[in-house]
Amino acid sequence: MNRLTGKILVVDDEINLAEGIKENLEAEGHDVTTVYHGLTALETIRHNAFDLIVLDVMLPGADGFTICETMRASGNNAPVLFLTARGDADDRVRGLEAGGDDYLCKPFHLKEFLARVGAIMRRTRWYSLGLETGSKLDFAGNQMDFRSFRGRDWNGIEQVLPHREAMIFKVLAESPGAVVPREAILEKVWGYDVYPSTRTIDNFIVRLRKRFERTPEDPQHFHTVRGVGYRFTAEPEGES
Amino acid sequence: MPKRSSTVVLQIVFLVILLVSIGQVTWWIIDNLKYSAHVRDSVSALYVREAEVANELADAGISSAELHDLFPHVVTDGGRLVVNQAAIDSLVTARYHRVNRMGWEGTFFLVVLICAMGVIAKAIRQDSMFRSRQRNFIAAVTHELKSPLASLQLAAETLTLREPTPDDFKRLTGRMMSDIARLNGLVTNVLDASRLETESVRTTGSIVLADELTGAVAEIRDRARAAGLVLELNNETRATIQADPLGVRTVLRNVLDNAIKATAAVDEGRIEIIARDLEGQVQVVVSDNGIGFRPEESKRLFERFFRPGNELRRETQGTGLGLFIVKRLMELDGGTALARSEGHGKGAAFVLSWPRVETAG
Repeated sequence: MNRLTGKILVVDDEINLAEGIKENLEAEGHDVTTVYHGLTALETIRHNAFDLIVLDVMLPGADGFTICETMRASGNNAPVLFLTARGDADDRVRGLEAGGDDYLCKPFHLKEFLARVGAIMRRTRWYSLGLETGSKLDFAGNQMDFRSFRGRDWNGIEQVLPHREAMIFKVLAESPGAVVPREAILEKVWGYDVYPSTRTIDNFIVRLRKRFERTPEDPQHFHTVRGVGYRFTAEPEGES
Repeated sequence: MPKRSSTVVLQIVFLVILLVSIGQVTWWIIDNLKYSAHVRDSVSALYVREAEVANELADAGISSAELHDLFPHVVTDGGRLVVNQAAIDSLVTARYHRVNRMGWEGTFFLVVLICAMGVIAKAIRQDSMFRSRQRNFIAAVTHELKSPLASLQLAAETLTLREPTPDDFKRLTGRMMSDIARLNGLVTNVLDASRLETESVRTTGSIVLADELTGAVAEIRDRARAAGLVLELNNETRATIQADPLGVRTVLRNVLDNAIKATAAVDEGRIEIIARDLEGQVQVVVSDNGIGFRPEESKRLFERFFRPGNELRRETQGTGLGLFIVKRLMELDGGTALARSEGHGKGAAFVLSWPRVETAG
């Protein structure tokens, strides 16, 4: 397995833990920066690009959820792995809603942590890989640029897609006309553990339809294949 | 959030009850004013009528002595029978007393009602404050337990997974030792706090405070150095106090530990520790240039589970037990613990005072 390495920011006020994580990630070949304070983290994220941010929730200055929301609001789509002692379901949901990509509870197993980091890195790599060959998509008067997460609909209105919506769109657009099973979307967009319900993907599809379909209630491009998955066609095609 | 809305509902209910009661009492008084006026007027009219009847009977030849027996409220005035003024006056006085009594009783009733509502509202507020503090405590303990555990597990797994060089080994085991010390401190604090609630079996002895202080400062020197803090100790006295040696050690350890936590995030953190003799008391003053606290929080800092700020944004480590333990132990030794700060970010000073024991010679 070829190793994917990248720039990783570790934010944790527990210095021992932050240093331990840093050393292990460095041993895997990553370039790691550690920060111990919420406000410093915000500042660091604003001025540097990272391939992954490992973020504690309970932090002095600004909590992890706020940090994640702030960076997402400013258009920063770097993946976030929450690492926290708060392990109840509410907190997990809160973390994912804040725009986190994965959630790991303290104490954690080193191997599991490294596996998750690897999975997130593979997902981001997959997303950015296709971009070199064709990051732009034109279909039925719509335009989408996967690199900037921005598009323009048939009406000329600019559309800014959240991280996950763009990723789902990209999974579908990679194989136009073919049915993409739900599992494939979950695997590529969410990773292996934090599976959302089927309804969550449905909601994303509904949002994509609202953005790009002329008649969202009678979709021509984003099709649901009942019981299997979803299908994207660049040419308009009515539901069969 | 539901907590807050239920408090608001309670306040509204209390207000409604109070308004209804005020209305009720006012109505009682007004009603009584009207009723007693009516009684006064009717009875005086009857008296007047009695006097008229008595005059008619006198004209008919009934003896005056007989008439006075029949009509007790009638007196002879200038050959005519008239209503006794004293009877009218007593009617007026009776009315005044009745209304007066109603006024006092109504006021008393309202005062009792307001007091009772105040007591209930206060109890409910305290209860909800205590509950939320306990929730914070659980969150803080979870964090304080899980963080060193996570760090320990990470270090142990790193040792297993990687092939550590002797240097790595030393660094990782050092880290593990500091995590274990932190866990130990937390467990001790939790146990101390619950013991203070139940037991009061203690030993007391004569202690030279300066020696204990030197020992306690030596314990934290490594930690302070690692955190880049400057520690300054000035033992200006060798006075003796009468106290529980274990308790004194715990008090000093907790206050010093607190100062380190408060200065951890500050550039050029500095902790100054002074032991001095002051007006029959032996004092230890621990001042730092750390995060400080709002002056109005100085008393609440010593309450159980109290932690400034919210738990998501942990400005400092801790569970809200350390200073509670300090205060209780100081009280048991007949001493006091005070905290002072100019405000957030302006440092803090903790003053521990024990009564001095006069030693012979």
